[in-house]
Amino acid sequence: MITDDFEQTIKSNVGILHKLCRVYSNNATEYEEMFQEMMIQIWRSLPNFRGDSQLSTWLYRICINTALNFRTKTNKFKKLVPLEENITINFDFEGEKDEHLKKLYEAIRDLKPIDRAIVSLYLDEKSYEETAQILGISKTNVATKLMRLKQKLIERLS
Amino acid sequence: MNEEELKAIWKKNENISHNSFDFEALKQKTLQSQEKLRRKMRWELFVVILLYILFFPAIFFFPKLLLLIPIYIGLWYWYLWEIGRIYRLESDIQNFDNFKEFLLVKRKFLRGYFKRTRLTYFAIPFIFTLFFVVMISFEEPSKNPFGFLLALFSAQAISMIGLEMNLWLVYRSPLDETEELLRQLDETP
Repeated sequence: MITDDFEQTIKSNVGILHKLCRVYSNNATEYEEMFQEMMIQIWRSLPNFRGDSQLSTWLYRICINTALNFRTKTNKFKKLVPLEENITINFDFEGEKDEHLKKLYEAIRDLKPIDRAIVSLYLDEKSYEETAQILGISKTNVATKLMRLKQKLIERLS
Repeated sequence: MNEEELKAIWKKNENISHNSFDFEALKQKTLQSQEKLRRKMRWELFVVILLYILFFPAIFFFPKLLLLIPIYIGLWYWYLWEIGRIYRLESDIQNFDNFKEFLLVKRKFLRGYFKRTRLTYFAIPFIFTLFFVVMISFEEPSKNPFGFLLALFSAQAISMIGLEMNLWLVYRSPLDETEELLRQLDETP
């Protein structure tokens, strides 16, 4: 039953995982490891989802936490035991054949880790309130940061 | 370029298709991952037991060292408990309401771990010395007490250096990165 829920949750929200992995990983191996780690975290926590927030917001919270924590884990010594074999995730990166999208990802990856999360949430139409809730900062802080970040991205891509 | 154009580019992500996942394999991998974590914990336990075994020959020369075993057990139990907390914190990030809360808990824990570990550096020599003084006060020691104390303090110095290196190599980097992420969250442009 949980397997069915999990499968359904992942299938209908796979875009969230994909985008955050693209934003936070530097190569295909890291991408796959991070994707797998996100799925493991979702698998573990799905039974505890109470429906207090939207499923997508809840998933963002878990995936951003995982992605940002994953960065710290890959440095020097991994705390969690890495998986020996990765599950093959055959993504078709059709969308990234688009030059603009590639440049946008590059521009986002040049930002600081926290800023990457804020930009991703903004581009996915998350409100300031949801972003603030996910990251644990004030709405004002989100708004101030976003104003600067949007400007930076526009300048970079123009 | 404007904000709407940025969002339009981002929407191209939706064109990405995905093949079906092997969820049964994922479940197995998750279980394997947890099993590996348990194996790592068992390895830590093995090291502790090995240290106990290495400690035993000393008992033949100083039988009263047997009385120190509860202190040793207590210290190693504490060490394993701390290690367990780190593993749990890293693997249960989904339990936190937001990212900042997770970072704050992690920083508090790591800072506390540093402090507690260093506190034991200062506490252990005093405990050992006190123990030794109490023991020799009942009878004339057959061995040279200064040699014994020197051995204890040498072992203490070696373990201090080892633990400091362990803190530096394993825990300093996560602590620094946690601080950096918190700084990024709170900074205002």
